Amino acid sequence: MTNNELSNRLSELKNGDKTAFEEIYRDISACAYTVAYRITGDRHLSEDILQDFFVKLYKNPPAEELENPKAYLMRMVHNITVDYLKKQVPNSDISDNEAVVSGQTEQSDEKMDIACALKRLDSDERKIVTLHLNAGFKFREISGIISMPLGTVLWKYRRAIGKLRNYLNGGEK
Amino acid sequence: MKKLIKTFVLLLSVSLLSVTASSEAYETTCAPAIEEPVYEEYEEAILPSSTTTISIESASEAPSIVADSSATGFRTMWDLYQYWYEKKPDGNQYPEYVCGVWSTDGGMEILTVAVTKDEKGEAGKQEILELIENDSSVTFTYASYSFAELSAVRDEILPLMGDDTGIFGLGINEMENCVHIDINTENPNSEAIIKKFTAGYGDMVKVEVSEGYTITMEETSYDIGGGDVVTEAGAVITTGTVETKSYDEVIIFCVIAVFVILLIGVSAIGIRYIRVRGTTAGNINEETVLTKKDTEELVKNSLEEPSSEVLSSVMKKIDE
Repeated sequence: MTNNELSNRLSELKNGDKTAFEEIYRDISACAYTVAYRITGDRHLSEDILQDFFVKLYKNPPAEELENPKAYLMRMVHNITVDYLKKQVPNSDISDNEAVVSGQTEQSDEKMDIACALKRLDSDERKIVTLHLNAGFKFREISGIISMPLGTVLWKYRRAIGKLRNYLNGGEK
Repeated sequence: MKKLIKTFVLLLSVSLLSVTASSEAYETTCAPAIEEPVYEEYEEAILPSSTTTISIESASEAPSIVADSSATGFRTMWDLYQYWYEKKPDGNQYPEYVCGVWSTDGGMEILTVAVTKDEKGEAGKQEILELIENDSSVTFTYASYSFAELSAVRDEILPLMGDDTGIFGLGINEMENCVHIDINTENPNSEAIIKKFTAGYGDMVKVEVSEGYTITMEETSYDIGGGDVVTEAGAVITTGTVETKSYDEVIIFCVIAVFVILLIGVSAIGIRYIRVRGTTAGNINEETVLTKKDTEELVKNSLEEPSSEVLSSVMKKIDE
């Protein structure tokens, strides 16, 4: 769905259009879930976040037409995720949650590899990678979202991609 | 015939110039640090449009804004920050009294500027307040080392990067007011190097150790802090004028030119990773060497799917 189409569907949501809502769900649920999951490292919690996000979106759709609706929605997901994490045990991290990886045995090898590679990153690095690659934020926006200088964001992103690449190329298993 | 030779020489000069241009382009496009979208955005955000690779010396020669009469009329600190990087005619770095700049409020509304703990820093602080209209867009803090001093230390360490030393990361951490060094402890020289750095530079450097990370040619580009990127890879050739004295000279010139072009091509191929793609696109297997772009694509496309119950649960909740 293009940004224009997404913007139109969001406008239709103001009238409580459930068909538009389902279309939005189908289009962004995987992306929103990925962002939540990669930040929390917990599938059940991420599904709760996803539910909360979509219920909030349906009940309070954006009042104005958005220039970049996807970024707006992903920012919402990020904020809800951060709120959930604040309520949970602090420093919840994928690397502490072995079940996340071991529970993925039925998934493809490729996904397993990427999940394992992402596990090697620290939480900041994983968040930056996810917000940039999965949520589609620009580094400048990420710098604002996570309150980190732009230079540090770029530095950490670069290092994270280096680590992922090194791992996926068999350098550090 | 003479006319034909002249035309040929002219064409060859044009081709050589384009090779030079492409070698410069190579510095900015073939070197992976800039090839990625990250640095395109980076440039868009910070680097001046006319400069893609910045001289290392520029960091240590960061000029003060004191004598800069064009530095006037900034609404917020963010505008001044952008000016330091994008519009300032005589440089693209902070003034010498600045140690670092970062966001305080999570956005760009309020920036924190670290200045040096001396008279110069105090004067600089006043100068910034005079330059910007909205004083609430800036907060100040003090730090020991100016960005220029840290840049000088970083530049000293820069040539040491590589497999010999185990240093695989280098950058300026403006908030911590230090040069951040990543070092691989599996390297036999790493311990001696860490000792040398900590003894020689004290708290100006912060060494982060990790095991088993090695540097590759494709990764030899460094974030030199404050938005500058220096790349090591990339050939530079110079162009010269050619006089058409004789046919032989033209031939020799042509042969040399072709040789130079071939040499550049071979170097470019040598520097780049040889990408051996698997038969199935996107698959990670033993024979595939992933580039940074491939890695980014893989992560981008590896979306997690929520269970099918989520939608029905959401629909149930909104019906309530």
